Amino acid sequence: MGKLNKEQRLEKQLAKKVEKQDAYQQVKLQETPEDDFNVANLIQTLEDQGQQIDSVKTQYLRVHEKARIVQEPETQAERDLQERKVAATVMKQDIKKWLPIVKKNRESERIDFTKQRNVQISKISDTSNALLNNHLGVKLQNAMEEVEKVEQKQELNGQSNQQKSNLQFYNDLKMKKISSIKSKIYKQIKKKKGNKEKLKLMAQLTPAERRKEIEKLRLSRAKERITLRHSTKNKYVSQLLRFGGDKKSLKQQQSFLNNLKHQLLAKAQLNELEDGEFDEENFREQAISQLEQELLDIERREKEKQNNFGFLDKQKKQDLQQSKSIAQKLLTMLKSGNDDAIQLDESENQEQNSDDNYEPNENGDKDKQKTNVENNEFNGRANFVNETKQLTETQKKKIDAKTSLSNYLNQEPEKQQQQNKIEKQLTSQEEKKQLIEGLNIKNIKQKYEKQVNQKLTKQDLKKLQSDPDELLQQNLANFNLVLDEDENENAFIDEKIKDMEEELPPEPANTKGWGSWAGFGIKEKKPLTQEQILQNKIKKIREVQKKRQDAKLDNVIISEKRDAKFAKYLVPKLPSEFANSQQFDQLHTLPLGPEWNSLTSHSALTQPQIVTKAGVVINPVRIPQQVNKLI
Amino acid sequence: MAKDKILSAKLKQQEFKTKSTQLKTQKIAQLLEPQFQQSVEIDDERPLLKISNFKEYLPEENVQNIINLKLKQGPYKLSVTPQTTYLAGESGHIAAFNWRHKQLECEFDVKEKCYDIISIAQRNFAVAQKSSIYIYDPKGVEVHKIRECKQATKLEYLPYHFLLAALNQNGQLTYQDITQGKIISTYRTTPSSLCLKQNNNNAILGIGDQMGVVRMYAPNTGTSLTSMLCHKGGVMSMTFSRDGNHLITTGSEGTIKVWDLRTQKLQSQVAVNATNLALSDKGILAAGRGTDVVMWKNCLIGDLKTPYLRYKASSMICDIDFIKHEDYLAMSTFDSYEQTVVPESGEPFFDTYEQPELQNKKQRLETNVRQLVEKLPPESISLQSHRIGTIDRTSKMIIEKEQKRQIEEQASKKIKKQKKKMRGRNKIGKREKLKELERDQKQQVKWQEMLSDALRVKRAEKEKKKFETKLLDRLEQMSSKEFIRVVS
Repeated sequence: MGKLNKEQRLEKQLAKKVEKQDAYQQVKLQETPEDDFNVANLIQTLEDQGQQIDSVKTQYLRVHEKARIVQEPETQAERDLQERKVAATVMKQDIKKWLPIVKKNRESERIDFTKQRNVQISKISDTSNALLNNHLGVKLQNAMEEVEKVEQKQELNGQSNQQKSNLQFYNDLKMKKISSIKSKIYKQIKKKKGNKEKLKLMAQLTPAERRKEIEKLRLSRAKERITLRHSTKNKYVSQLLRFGGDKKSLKQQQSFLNNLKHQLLAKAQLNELEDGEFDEENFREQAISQLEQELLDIERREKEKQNNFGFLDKQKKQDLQQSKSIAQKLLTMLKSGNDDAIQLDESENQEQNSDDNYEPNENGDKDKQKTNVENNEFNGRANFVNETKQLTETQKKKIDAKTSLSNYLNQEPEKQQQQNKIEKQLTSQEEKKQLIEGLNIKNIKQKYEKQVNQKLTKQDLKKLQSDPDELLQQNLANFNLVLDEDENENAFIDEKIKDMEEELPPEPANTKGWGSWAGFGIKEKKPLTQEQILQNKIKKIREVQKKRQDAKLDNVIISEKRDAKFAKYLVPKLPSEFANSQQFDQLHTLPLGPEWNSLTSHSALTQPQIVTKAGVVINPVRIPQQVNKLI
Repeated sequence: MAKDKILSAKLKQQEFKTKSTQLKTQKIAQLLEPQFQQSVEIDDERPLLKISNFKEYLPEENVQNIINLKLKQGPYKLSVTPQTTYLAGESGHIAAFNWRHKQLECEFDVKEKCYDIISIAQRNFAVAQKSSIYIYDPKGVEVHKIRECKQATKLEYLPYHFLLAALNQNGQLTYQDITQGKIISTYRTTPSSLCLKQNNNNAILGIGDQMGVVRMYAPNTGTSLTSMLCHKGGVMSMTFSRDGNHLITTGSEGTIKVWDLRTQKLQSQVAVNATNLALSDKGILAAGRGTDVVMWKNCLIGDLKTPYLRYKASSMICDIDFIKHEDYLAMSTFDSYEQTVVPESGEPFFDTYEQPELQNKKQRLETNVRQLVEKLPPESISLQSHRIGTIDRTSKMIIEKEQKRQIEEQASKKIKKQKKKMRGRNKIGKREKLKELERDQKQQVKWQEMLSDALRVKRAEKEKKKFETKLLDRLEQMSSKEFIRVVS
């Protein structure tokens, strides 16, 4: 509606302006011929009479030429220019309203289509009447509020969707802010919260499970430290890191990955939109075409060269036949048109595969299959669990945006895990071979049994105790939540010790040769070890602790620093009369002012020692005779 | 006792004087005590009394002052004086009104986030806004803008020192003199602070921590005077008693604790999950928990088991405070301001230096001038303020060290005059060469320090690498051992 009105308004304004100009000119044109008293008529009359007026005529013509330009109507080009100027001024006023909104939308990452909230501003001045007439006013106010509540509820139902979208937008902004925080303190607090939750989870686990997790953590941390912080800084390594094996820059790789992500997201969003309008026929056609391609692949693979090993070829044949049978079954199902039957068959097939330790990866390597056959105990079950998570092609159509992203992000670590598993298996195989070939298993068993049954000597016990890893495991296993709650207390005790350390005098530098006798035949003093230095420090701290005010209070720190600025309100030295400071302080226990005492006691306290009445003559001071003699 | 007869006589005379004056003051205090003090008796059957039960028996003056204002702009903070209440909403709504006469003084909207409000001298008030602290007239005119302390979230005002204390979001505490506009001291305290409150007797500020520690601060020293571990959780709020001898705190783990500050020990505690605290002059404790307010009568003696009163507000409570010298409790919630009667909570007598509420305009002006003349210097704030005029008991060694340090500081501040040298040596070129030499030497020292630091870091990295390789080896051994165990 607004646009139409503006256009209409523009047309009207333009029309008015044009009309005005025309009217002005018309008035001028109309006036000139109607005027009776005209110069041209006068001259003509004078010429007719026969008078000489050439000079007057020339002057008149000059003026007339100039006036002609004014009176003439404007050309069309000039008129168009004026119209355009008028139109531009009108348009500018309209655009002014939209400029800030356009600017905001351009700068922001996403556009906000929500309306502005209508903030209800309440003021005390509105309710001031209620204050004066308290009884009636409050009753009226309450009645009005009840009516308002009913109205608000009706509005709220309509506004609920808007509020949700507003809240989402607000939350996104909030998370963006939180991610950009760089303060160390915030990170420390966040870390502590995370650690607490982890430890609570750890407490619920059994000790065997706990050890495994701790080992995982330790390995990951050790690897991180070596890879990230203390990596080698050679030219070769730095170039590798920067350009990679294929001489690609980091930015190129990142952009490539980002593109992949965006493509996946776009796909997933499209799928989400299409969920409602699911075309069965299209989907069926696609599935049939894919299955037919797979069948062709299987045929091609059967025609390939066979290896010399017989048992490998047998396996290959079995695998291909099974995959062929599954594909044919699915094709028949799809062509018949029973969708429910497909899902059931898939689940059945998977179970069959699990019994045979079979991998349904059509493009899977043969080496993997070999290892699986040999080590059924270690890898067979684990692979099956991973397979169930991998979605079949029929289900891929219905993927959401979140799941597709998470799958993409989890792909790389899964691959790494698989590679690691293969490596581990290989190492384990080698060790197994060594055991079987080089040594008898019975001998090894006997050795271990001896070690277990053997009584441990003191040295062995010490070795066990010295292992910090085992001690750590034991401590973590016996971890209690009670320790976690005393985090504040531990921090406070550390603070107290730090405060006491500051009071200690600085230790002299432990230079060699200083503070000891030199010469021939004197034994050299060994420098103190770190443990000895620590023990000495602890002794000193305990001596300091006894002298402090807060020696018996564990939950209090009283600082022993002297307040130098406050010292000017204290008396620096004891006056000569007094023997103790207590005697001096006793005089100042009682305040003299009238604010603390009654008037009579105040007058008594401030009474001078000698009282002289008014009118009494006071003689000047004289030097006593004993002193006068000396002078 | 002293050996001098004169001194001993003087001391004896002093003792006599003190005893006689104390007796007189006690007698006068007995005469001035109110004879008919209203109180509420509690039956054993229903220990929790609701205010609505005895509302009918109250006089009309008290009933008229029970206020319930509905406001809609965010959670509110308040500060109450015996005449006016100041309210500050989080979205920027600021108002001041006389609750005694029901008269609006000022109301305006700063389109900015407001954190705290407090009333200061001569009926002005200060507001901690997002950009800076503003000081307003009683009519709502902006008088000052304090740019120095930014993002202040908590305010406190020391009336006898004329100091405005502001606590920052990062834990920076600033003392500002209102009369001169000078900043007296700024220093960094705990970064995770939750509450700020002053000791009325002592003018020392207490800051409650997220780690459950309460620390006391004064403008003289940057470090905390005392710090006390009070709770296992964070300290949500706290109050000091009128004497300054007791401290009451609440923790986030759900306890209220009463501390004796003379012995620094715990007196009593109760398991109540409270967020706000207020203590009246007569010793009634109010604790806000959610929409409820629970009150105890003799909390300082140790009776925290049986509550005295209970009040239910319309919504969640944000701030709570007793009105001085009156029997009212003021509280601000998310969307209202409420005021109720709490019998036997207010102290009827004014302190001699306190400004009474009922005054003429002339009297008020005179008291303002007198308060300014008797302003206490900020350096006199300390835990030992009762020892002013007594003898300094610190050892001579420490005092001598301080004096030495002072002399050195003064010497370093003095500008050195260049020596008048012999002829020919005072050329401009030679003088500037010497200056360049000094500059180079200073730079050399800097570079050497930098180099030594860098070397130290490199050594530490090497040691770390060694340690980590050892750890990895050990882990590999462990993994191999376990494998052998499985096989066997």
